[in-house]
Amino acid sequence: MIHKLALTRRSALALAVCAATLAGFPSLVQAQEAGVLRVASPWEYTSNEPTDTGFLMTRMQIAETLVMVEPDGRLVGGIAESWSVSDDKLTWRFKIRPGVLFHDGTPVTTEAAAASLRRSLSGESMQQIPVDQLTTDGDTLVLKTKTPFSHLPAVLVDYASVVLAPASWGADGKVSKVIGTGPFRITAIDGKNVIELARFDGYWGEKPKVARARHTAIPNGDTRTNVAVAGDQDIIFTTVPSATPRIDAAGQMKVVNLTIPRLRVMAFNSGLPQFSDVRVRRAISMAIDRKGIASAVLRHPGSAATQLLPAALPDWHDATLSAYAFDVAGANALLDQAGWTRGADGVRTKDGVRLAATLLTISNRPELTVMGTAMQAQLKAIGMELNVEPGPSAAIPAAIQAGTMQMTMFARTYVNVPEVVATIIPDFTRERSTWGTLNWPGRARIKALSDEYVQSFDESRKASLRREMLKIIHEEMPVTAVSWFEHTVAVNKRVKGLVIDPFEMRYMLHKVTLD
Amino acid sequence: MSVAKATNTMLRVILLRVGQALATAALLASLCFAFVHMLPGDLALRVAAARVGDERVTPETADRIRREEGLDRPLIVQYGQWMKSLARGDLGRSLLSGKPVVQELAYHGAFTLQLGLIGWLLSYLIALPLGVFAGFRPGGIVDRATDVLAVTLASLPTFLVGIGLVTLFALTLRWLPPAGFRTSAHMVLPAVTLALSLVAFSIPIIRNAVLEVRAAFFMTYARVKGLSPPAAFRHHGIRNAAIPVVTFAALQFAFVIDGFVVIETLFNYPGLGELLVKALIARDVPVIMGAGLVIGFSFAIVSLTADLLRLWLDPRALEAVRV
Repeated sequence: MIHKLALTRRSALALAVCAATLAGFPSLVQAQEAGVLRVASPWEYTSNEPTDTGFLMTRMQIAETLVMVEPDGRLVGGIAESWSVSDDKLTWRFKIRPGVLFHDGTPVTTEAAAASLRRSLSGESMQQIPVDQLTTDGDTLVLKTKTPFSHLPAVLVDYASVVLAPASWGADGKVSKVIGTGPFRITAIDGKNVIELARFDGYWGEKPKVARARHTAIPNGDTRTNVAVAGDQDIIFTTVPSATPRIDAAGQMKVVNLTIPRLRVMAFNSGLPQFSDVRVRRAISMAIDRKGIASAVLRHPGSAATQLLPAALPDWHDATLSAYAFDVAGANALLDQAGWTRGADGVRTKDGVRLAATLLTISNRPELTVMGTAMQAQLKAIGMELNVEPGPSAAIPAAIQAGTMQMTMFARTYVNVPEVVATIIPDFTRERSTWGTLNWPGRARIKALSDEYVQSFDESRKASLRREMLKIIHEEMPVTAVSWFEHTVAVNKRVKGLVIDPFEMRYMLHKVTLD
Repeated sequence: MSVAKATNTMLRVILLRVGQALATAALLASLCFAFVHMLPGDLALRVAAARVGDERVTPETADRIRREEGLDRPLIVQYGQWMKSLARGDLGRSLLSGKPVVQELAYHGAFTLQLGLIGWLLSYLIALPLGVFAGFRPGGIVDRATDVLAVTLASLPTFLVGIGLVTLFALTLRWLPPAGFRTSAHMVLPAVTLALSLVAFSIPIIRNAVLEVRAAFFMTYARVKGLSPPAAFRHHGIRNAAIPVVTFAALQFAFVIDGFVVIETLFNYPGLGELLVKALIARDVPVIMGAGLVIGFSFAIVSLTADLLRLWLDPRALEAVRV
């Protein structure tokens, strides 16, 4: 009896093992499909809300905004075919492009666009628009502002303002399904990692050459490198710069670089006794070997910043400004002049204050900590003590708000919308900025200049205002750029026709063909 | 002990243990709540940064999220609300994705369970023959080789094993994809990495269990009675040697069900470990608490299953159970 029972138990165990093995496998056996454009980036699709993941909707060309930007910086019509502003500069009229369809086949009406825009106007990034009222007039969307706001079209490029179909919103006011107007429509979403897309045949503009595309989020940089080395994707955005030689050598994908208006900047708390004197800030900037950091840490000598913004933004790059100097002797002379004397430990002091600071950096941008450590050694040469403290990115705006930030280095894009002033205002005109200056007395001048800039419609006056703002920032250095970003994109041999958008608004996948 | 009495005892054991598991899981979730709120920094700001992205986060966004998600209410009220929802079987919604926590846990949990099960079974497919063989020939070449293998694998960090496998099979030989989860080919490298990290500890356990049983008096008796060594082991050895092995295997399985962050990150696999780490970074309290609850409960259930299996393999132990 016992013997029989034991046999049953044994076979039951074997059966259980077999069943469990089979249970694990069924959904796994799938063939790798051909003819799908495989795109990867670090970005996960965490939610359907345009304020959160709208950047993926516009980059993957699922949803579109009223106004769009071309890779050369020109503003062009998106869902709005054209726009105009009244003589008093307070009323903007956006003519809705005829024949635009949502992915569910319904036409984009003026009412639908207005309803979608109304929802996005309540988001923080759109709150800079001094909206008076938003109405419709036939095929035209009419937006009145309380004060003249010259870069309104540029702000409407913001991904938070993508136009979605009325059926996108659920009863709770949240986006339950993304129904956009872009050249690609979502066919399936697998968790946060994978978005499956198909060409939208009803698209109003240039139709994609590929019938299907897939976006895969690969947040880990080393994993993206492995995938690029193996050639397991067609286009991988934001590869790790130091991995470029490895990826190229493997021969499956080639890395393309493009300088973009995203910077690694250093900011000071200008209210602290050690940084209130502009000569100290300048001396620190002069002691930093930007070229050395760019070649040794970032592996791209061309990414060393010479002024705040790169030439990729011609309007906001002033070639007449002198490039940031690397001059340790000059920096020491400046500090001597400012009355900072070296103590026994080599660190300078003045009126009992040590020339020392904690530099906050972001741990999920590993190169920043390495750069910080390099700067720590370089600043020692001018008698400054620097502690590098990597932390979560939210710690930096929190430290600025709390007023505890001493020095910080972070990565910042100046083209969240394709008009730099939209970043200058929050970063340089407030006592406590979001990502930038803290207690900088020069903010009042930038505020006056940027206020005039926002209200001005005179292009030549705006150009001179831009130059003035850039000059003040360049000379006073409440914030100084250390390096510009190289947008690194690994491209598979079979991909043809890829265009890279320095504004990172669209991945321009509609232009791509596969061999 | 009569069959009825034994069944009765078993049932009471199960009920008691499930109750204990539920209580432990709720306690674990409550501890998660306390710990997350004890972490320094503004919770709403961290949630905001995770939602809208580091560069777009502003104090206004943090304030909006604080208001919308009720994070400005006193902690005791927030905790009470959670407990009340839990009583209705509702784990709430993720602060990050807005999706129900149950949905998030089910999605990522299914991936972890799938890979965990494959890796775990694979590890025993490797460890059982090697361990048994080594136990039969202690000091022999297989025993010494598996010993070296187990020590090496145990001392190597998992990510190093994973990187080694990726470099060899994905990047050099190009036999397998380096990362992903879409096809069975994608599962091979993470499953082998997981299996190797488990094998390191299960081989010595199996070997010692076999060795111990073979030296037992009842085995000598079986041999004296005229059974050949393999037959003696088949009839009397396997079941006795299985007792410690089953307990250990169940514990290892319990360890894999809460995810394996290193493997999931390296292979871009959307498992529970990755979800939990991201939830911790984003301070996604409902997901952290939900994960604590589910993981705690699953751990207890696996351990209960192991105990039941042990009682089934060794009914003598039932006599010792006091309920």
